[in-house]
This record gives sequence, structure tokens and C-alpha cells, in this order.
Amino acid sequence: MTHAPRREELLSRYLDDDLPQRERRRLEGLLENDAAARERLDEMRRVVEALDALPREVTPPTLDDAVRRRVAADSVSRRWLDRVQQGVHRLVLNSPLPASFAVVLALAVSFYLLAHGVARRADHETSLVVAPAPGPATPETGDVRDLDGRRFRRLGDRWWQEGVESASGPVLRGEELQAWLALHPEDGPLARLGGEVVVAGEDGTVVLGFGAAAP
Amino acid sequence: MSATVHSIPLSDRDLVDQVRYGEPEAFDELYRRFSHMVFNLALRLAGDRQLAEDLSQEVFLRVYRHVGGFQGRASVKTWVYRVALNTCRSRLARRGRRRRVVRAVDDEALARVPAGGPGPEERAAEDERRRRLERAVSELPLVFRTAVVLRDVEGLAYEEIADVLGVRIGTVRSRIARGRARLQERLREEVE
Repeated sequence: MTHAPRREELLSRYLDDDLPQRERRRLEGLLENDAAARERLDEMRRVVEALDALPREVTPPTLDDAVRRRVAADSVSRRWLDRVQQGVHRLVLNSPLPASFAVVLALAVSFYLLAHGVARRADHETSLVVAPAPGPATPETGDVRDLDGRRFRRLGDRWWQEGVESASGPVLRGEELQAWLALHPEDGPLARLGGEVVVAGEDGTVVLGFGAAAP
Repeated sequence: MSATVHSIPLSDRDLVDQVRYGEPEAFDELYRRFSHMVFNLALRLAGDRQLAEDLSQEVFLRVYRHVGGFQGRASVKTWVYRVALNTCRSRLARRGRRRRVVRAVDDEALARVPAGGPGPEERAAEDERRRRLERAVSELPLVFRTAVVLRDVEGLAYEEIADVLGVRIGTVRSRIARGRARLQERLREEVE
């Protein structure tokens, strides 16, 4: 028979009934005389049938709630943005000269913030306001805090959720951290611990970086 | 999320228009129609139930945000598939480095297998075969995995897959064939 990739494609298309009549007949002729190719075809057919038989999972009810909540929140922020845009639009139409000045000023401020603010944020990598840690702050290693039913122990500069044995992967900060918190709102209160918090996420161990370590 | 917008079911396109006009129940209905498809696609591509749920959330948020940009050149189903695939691909590519144990069906899902039918031994063997297959799928390179899942699990036609992926039909044929061949090899290795 033909060389392997071409052969695989012919067999695959044969199973999907995607071959033109002439090519199909030609392949069937070849299969009659080639036991290895027939075996290969049967094997591929079994794989395709097994894939087709994989069960369809039911959508989890938690997904319904989460989507509804996030879409509602997004809708509110979009409405707010629309209002701001309309306000700016009206301002520009009603008083073009001051509005132009305001736009130039806003651009200058944005440029300044981009040039300085973002760089500073990259230095400190603080994306959340870190409130003082609850309870008496004891700087010694081994400080333990209970937070929303989860127990954390400080070892060195990190807080470790009880039961987590090792941390792997990068520390999530800035936008990555925000994205994580959007998906795991239950981890929001961990910001109160400050510093780096090691938690056992569904996706494995995750380290969340909440800026400077708590005092 | 189980709202019906009108007594006569709207077409997918009309539904999208309703979402654009801000009809509050329209998005619920759009979600109801496509959530099963999106969740199962994410599950097969990600190989992890929790991650599939996270991905599905992101997909529907993107659908909601970008519904205004839907131009109607493709069907709504194709468009939703495209959004879902782009979301999964970007997230899975980022996640690749720190991927841990891959598992598509958790214990909870296994517990839902109905009683009766085959005996416990046959069921265990069947579960094991399924797990092997799911693991093999999740280990395929993403381009082949996507093509095979869209064809053999989701049941899309070659033309639809080409449309969703934005590639030529010849590329689809080749990716499906190579994906299937790799699966065969992987499963054969496991048996041996």
C-alpha cells in the first residue's frame, strides 16, 4: 500500500465516507489483498467507535450560577462605561474647546501613568489592597491563622495552607492573580494574610502573590 | 438558567439579536442551548472537570462580551465553537508547563454510572478502557486533539471543522487522520 501518512489519511477518510467513489473502490480492492491494512483499518474503526461512545457529561449546576453571576457583573460594568462614554460624547459636542483641552490632559495623564505607574506596579507587583492581618501578628516562624475555615501556617516568607506539601509553578501576580480570583472568589480573603500564600488549587498547588509580606 | 424567550423557539441568529438588544432572558436561552456542547468540548480538550468548568465560564463571558461583533457569516454554533476553542487553546497552552495529573472523569462522575447492566468486573474493565482512551486523547498534541475531538466526539463534519478552525479541508483531513493514528499507537503501546 501507499506510504504511511497517505495510507492513514485514506483509511481515515474511508471510515468517514469521505472518499470519492473511484478512490473508495480502489482502496477496497487494495484492502482485499492486504491483511495488515485491513487490521489497521479495523483498529482505527475501533478507536473511532470508542471515541463516539465516550459519555456526554452533564453541565454542572455550579457552572450555571457562575456564568450568570459573571455575566451580570460584566453587564453592570459595561452599562457604567457606556454612561461615561455618553457623558464624554455630550461634553465634546456641547463645548468643543474645553473638551479638547480635557482630552489632551487625560491623554497626558494616561501617558504618565503608563510610563511610571505600571513600572512601579511591576516593581512591587501589588494588585490588591492588603489589609492588616487578623489577630496578633507574631513574626516568628510557625505563626498560624484560621481564615474562613482554612488553616494557614507561616514558614519563612510564605503562608502555607495546611496539607500542602510543596509549591510548584510560578507565583500568580497582577492580572494572572486577578484572573485566578475571578474564578476562585473563595481565595479573595487570603489577601488578608499578605505576602505569598500557597494553596492547593483544583489545578494543583498554586502560589498567590499578594504583594509585600505581612508584618 | 432555563428561560424560554418566546413560545415559538427562536432561531440561534434571532436569539443572538435578542442578546444584542439587551433582552435579559435571551442570554440565558443561548447559554442553555450551548452550555452542554461547550462544557463537553472543554472537558475533552482539558481532560479535567474543574478546569473545564472554569474554561466554560470564560467562554460564555467572551460570548456575552463579543456577541455584538458576531457578523453572521458562520452559524451561531460554529461561532460559539470558535470562541470555545480559542479560549481553551490559549489557556491550555499557558497551562502546559505546570500540568499535573490528567484526568477527565473524576470519582464523582464514575459514581454516576448507572447500576445494573454489566457486572462489576465488566464495568471496571470498561471504565479502565475509557480512562485509557481519555488519557490518550489528553496526551495528543493540541492540534490533533482538537481535530479528533471535533470529529469523533462532537460529530462535526469536515467542512464544519474547517470553518471552526479556519483552516482548509485538506488540513482537517490530515489532522484527523494523524490524530487517530497517534491514538492507535498510544493505545497499542499501553496494551503491550
